[in-house]
Amino acid sequence: MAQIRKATGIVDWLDQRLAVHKLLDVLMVKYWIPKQINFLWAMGVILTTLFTVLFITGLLLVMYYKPDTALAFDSVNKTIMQEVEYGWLWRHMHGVAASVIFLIIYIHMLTGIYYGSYKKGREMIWISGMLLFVVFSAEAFSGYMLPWGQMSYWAAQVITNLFGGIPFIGDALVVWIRGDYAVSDPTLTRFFMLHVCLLPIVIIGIIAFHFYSLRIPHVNNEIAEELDFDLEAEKYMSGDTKNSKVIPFWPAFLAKDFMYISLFMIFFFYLVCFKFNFAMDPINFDPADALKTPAHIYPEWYFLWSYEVLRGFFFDIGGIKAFDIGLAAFGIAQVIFFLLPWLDRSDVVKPAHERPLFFIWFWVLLIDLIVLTIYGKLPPTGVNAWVGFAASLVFLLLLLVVLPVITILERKGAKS
Amino acid sequence: MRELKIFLVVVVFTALVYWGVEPYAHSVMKPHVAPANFDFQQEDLSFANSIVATKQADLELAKAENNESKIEAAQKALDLANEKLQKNQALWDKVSKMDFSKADASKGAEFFSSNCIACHGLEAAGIAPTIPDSSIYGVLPPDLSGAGLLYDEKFLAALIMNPSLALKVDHKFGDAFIMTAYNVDVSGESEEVTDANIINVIAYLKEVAMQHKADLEQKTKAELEARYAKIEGISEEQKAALIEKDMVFAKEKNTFIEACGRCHSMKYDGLVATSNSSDLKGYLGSIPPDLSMMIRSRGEEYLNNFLNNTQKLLPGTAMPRVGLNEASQKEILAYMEKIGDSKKEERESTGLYIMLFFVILSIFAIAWKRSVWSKLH
Repeated sequence: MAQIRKATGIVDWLDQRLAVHKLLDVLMVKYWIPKQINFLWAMGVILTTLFTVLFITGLLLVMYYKPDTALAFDSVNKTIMQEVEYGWLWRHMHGVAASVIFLIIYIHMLTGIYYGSYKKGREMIWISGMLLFVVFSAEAFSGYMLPWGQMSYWAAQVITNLFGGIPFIGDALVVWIRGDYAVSDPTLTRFFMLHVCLLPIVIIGIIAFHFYSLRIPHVNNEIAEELDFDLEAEKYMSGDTKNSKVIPFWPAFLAKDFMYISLFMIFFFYLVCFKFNFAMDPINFDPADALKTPAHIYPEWYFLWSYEVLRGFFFDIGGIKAFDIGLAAFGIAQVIFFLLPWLDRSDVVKPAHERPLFFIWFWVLLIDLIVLTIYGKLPPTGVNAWVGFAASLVFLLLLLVVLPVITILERKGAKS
Repeated sequence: MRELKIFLVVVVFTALVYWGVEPYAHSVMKPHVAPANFDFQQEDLSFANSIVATKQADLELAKAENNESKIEAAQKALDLANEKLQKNQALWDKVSKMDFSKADASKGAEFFSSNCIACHGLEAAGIAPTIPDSSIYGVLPPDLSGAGLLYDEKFLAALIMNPSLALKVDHKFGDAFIMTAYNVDVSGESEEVTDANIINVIAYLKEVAMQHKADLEQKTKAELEARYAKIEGISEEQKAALIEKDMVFAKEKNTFIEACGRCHSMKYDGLVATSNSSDLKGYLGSIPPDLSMMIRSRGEEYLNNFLNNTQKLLPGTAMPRVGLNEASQKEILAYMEKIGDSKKEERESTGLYIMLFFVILSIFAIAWKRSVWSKLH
């Protein structure tokens, strides 16, 4: 047992028992971050903040929400939105944060892609991040069902139906997921369980893993410079803070992030109080009605690009049904980003503007994703269907063919 | 500078996505309609004309395709649209010739008691309803106490002469609408007589409605004063302001009950439709929706246009055009907002305070960041 002396204060008392100084050193004070970074490196902390907002407002909402098809709609729209003191605020914050968190996730992902932060030792950061994205998607989908409005119901209907396309077990799988032959009360209850219990636990676990995975390969920087972190840290600790290429997580990195969060929150609460329809679809203020199909069914904006890949293949090709091709393409779209570190065959870690072909590829991909997103909401008729088809095809080609080819060329060019 | 450039790129692409999935997508998916027009003659004629134009275009399209069956169907639709336009023209021609200034309310009262009381009550004039519930017609016939002030007078005249056409439910009920028409063809009287009867009865309804309004105001005021008298700790001015606010709400709620409450419930305000819901289902085809959250699901602009001309936004709906004048329609929308979006005021004022909080926090955060980073650069 360690030597316990009479403590000089609370911190010392804790330090003797929990080694808080050592812990803070490891987690904060001697956790080194490159200095050469821009505001895009603040997205991780903004995401953590938004997740915290979702977690806390979610706890408040669960106190009044009723996961029962007969009570859910009124418990949200009457009890929470009108009767509970500031219930509207918690709900709007929850709904808007759920939508905005995806915007930040996409910026975070695209930053990683642009600066090549997914390879050469950083694969596990990328994979754990992608895992977070997928589980967050499930969390968002299950949460969207809870108010039991028209869009909740019909989105659940459409999305659960997709699993029916899986060969052999499809039909049974759909019933297993719904807990009934149709989307109904047991469906709502089980998605409630997923949303407030299982998925949050999984998310917290993966977040911890995501943070841990950063420690060994370290955070990338704006010029993708390979740093000797031990050497730079020594420089910093010896007092040469100006010439050291690293900064400590606390206070330097967090001081910067805290500034970005404060600024971001002005924008966030503007959305919460004045501009929330994008995150809280008006149609969902109509109670769920199994007999009345809404004129247009569409997912939330952050699912539109993959939804459009699903819808993009709208005609049979070579005897294979359009639905099956779409489903396969959708399946590929869901997992393809996991493989990014291996689809990129080049071992160059540099920002995209220093990799000419990759640079073009990046912007074409971004534009294609935006086209998919916009056309994913429009009715798939006439020209729209063809735009969706072309954009879906471009998406698959970009990732499956173009990226490997240009990065192989890059590698060969670098050698000669 | 570089950081600012990156920020601008992020903003531009985010804005592009927002524009695409919100304003642009909705402008594609939502039907474009002319804004609400409370000159019902203009509204109906321009609407009927626009339908004719669409059907004409459909026909031309079918002709270009050279598809026999399509041409036939399109021609049929065009003929129907033209027929409807003519019917509307004929009806509104007659209405526009009426001179409402020559009305005699006392004669209107006589006409009312010999013709209208078979179905309509007029509580404010002491006339009890003869039909107590919705079981006979599928819907409870309205008590007309407030009608003279709720509805546009020309609309009322059109309604009396051709109910299903003026209410825009002729596509559903044809000439077999539950309210019988009163016009030259039905009564066998001269046009002079029918016109006089119509303007007289409308004048009478207006007179009753004025009385009805005054009675209601007095009653509400007395109730509110009694209620606020028990409350202590607020000044007389505050009380007066609160009573004033509650009076406005009571008026709006009453307008809603009279215009919408026979078919629609407002669950979040404890209002249940006065007609039985299964009767309504038999009559209209489906149970009319509860209106508690309509202000959030449809928005004020949509509702304003929809009440003005239901067919414009939901072709084929069994919901009649309500024929409310601009003032009463505003009251109904205000009531719907007070029930469905009751925290709007709080949301908008709290929102500003929260944003202000973060503006101040940002100033401190920027200062802190600078002090930390001054040792790093």
